[in-house]
Amino acid sequence: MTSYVFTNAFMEYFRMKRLFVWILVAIGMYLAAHAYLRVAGSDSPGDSYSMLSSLLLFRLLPLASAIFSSAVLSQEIEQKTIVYLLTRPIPRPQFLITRTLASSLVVVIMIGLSTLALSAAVYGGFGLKNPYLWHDMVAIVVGALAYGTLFVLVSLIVNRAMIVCLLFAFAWETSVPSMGGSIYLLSISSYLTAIAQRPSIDTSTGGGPLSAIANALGTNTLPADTGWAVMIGLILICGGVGAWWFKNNEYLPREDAE
Amino acid sequence: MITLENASRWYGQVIGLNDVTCKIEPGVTALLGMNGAGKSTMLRLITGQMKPTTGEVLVDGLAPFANPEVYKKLGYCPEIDNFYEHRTGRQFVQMMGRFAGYDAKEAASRTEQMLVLVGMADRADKKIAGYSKGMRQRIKLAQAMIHDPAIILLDEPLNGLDPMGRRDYINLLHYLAQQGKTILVSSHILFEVEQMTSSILLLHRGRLLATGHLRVIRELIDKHPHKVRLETTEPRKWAERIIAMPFVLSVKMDRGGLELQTREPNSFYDALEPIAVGEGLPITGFSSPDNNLESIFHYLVNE
Repeated sequence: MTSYVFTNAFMEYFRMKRLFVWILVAIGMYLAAHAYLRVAGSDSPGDSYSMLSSLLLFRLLPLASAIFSSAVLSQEIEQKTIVYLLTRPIPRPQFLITRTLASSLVVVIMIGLSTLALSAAVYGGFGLKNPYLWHDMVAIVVGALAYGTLFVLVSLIVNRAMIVCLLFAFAWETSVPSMGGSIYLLSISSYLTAIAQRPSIDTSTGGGPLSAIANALGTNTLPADTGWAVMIGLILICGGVGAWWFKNNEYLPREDAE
Repeated sequence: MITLENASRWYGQVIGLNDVTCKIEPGVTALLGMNGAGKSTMLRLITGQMKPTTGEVLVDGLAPFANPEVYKKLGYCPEIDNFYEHRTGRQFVQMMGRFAGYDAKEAASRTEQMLVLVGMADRADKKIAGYSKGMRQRIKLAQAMIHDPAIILLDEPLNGLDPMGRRDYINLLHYLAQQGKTILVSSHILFEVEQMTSSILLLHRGRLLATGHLRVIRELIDKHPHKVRLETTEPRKWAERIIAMPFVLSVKMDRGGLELQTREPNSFYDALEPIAVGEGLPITGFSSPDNNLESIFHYLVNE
């Protein structure tokens, strides 16, 4: 039954209507990368990719996670279809974790598509010559799970969680990594950057303010091991607490209580 | 069997269900009450969507909240009219079959059987978005029965069904009851309930006012003067004839007809026909304002 819950959720999230939007995003990413390369022609491909990846891909990841995580539960509550799902003989923790995994997989595919488009624009061909591609792909998988479990947990506890998740994605994850001291440790993005291990961009050779912003967003001194340990811990804690919370609390169709 | 033992449920300061104790046995039982009486709350407690604030709710001896063992033997047809609109009726029912634990082949076969049973086999391949209210009710029933549950809970299932659809639906309930299933149907329409069953649970403002045979309710109604409204173009002539009847207590005339009170409604109805036919006095409309739940509750709570 678990495999069906997964497949059903995956097919639901991966519908053509949604896929189409993310294909457009990938095309937009490709065009934006081309436009940037024309302007900053002197940058090395590594610097260009690193900058665009920090500025675009790793901003897009929490946004996609916020959108798809809402489909795990919030959307079912809003659409009142939750009642059909929760009166079936499926253990609630299993149900929640399986659907979270399905939504994370969709996020990985969508953002993976944009990563390939960006890489192809910078390195030519299918972009497979990009030495940072697979590091970024791994970071995207970890990020999709980390953001996914965190946002699902938020949606279990908070009404209208999408607003909170989008604020986190745009405001928190954009500003906190560039803050001084050790406050950047409170951002998921910092740990993903550590896992990706992209190099710092050499701002002395050009690139201008975009490179400086990208550096602030995308590099830090954290070792990859720390990134892995914190992210695995976050995924396990958010996933575990979420499953426990979902098992023990009521979820009724919104605006339907007598 | 479904058991509620001093079950109460509060929504903050508002009580949804107040200290209800009852047992629901196999057969059709109607959960009767006006809107806001607590019917849906009771169904949500039994289906394990909510936990009782105090007291206990058991389904075959098990607490239903988030309990997969209970959901194996329980089918629920909610009042809400929301679906996965982009799916067809067949896809939706089949999906519910898969969620019940059947493999694709078994779920498809059961789906077909259910669609035939609810009379939707020929229309099941259209998207739900294009379904009428009646078709949605039938699909909801099909999804509730896909796993052949021993207990079926139906929340206002006749809403939106045409007369033929209602008849078919009620016949289906009787058929299921004969199979030994426990069926609990909520409704706020007494007339509807009378066609389904004579076993009732009467809820009012969260409290269980009466249980047992519908006759009990009828007797309670008959203890009080019964109001009848007669629509006619000749109210004065009708009033002359009616006021002479010994079982009529009062008559009140207005422009469109008259309203009267009687202690013997059956005798009154018997006496009407000879006057209408024999003397040619017209009747354009006929209703009993008492024959609704609001009046019954009015009597029961002595308001």
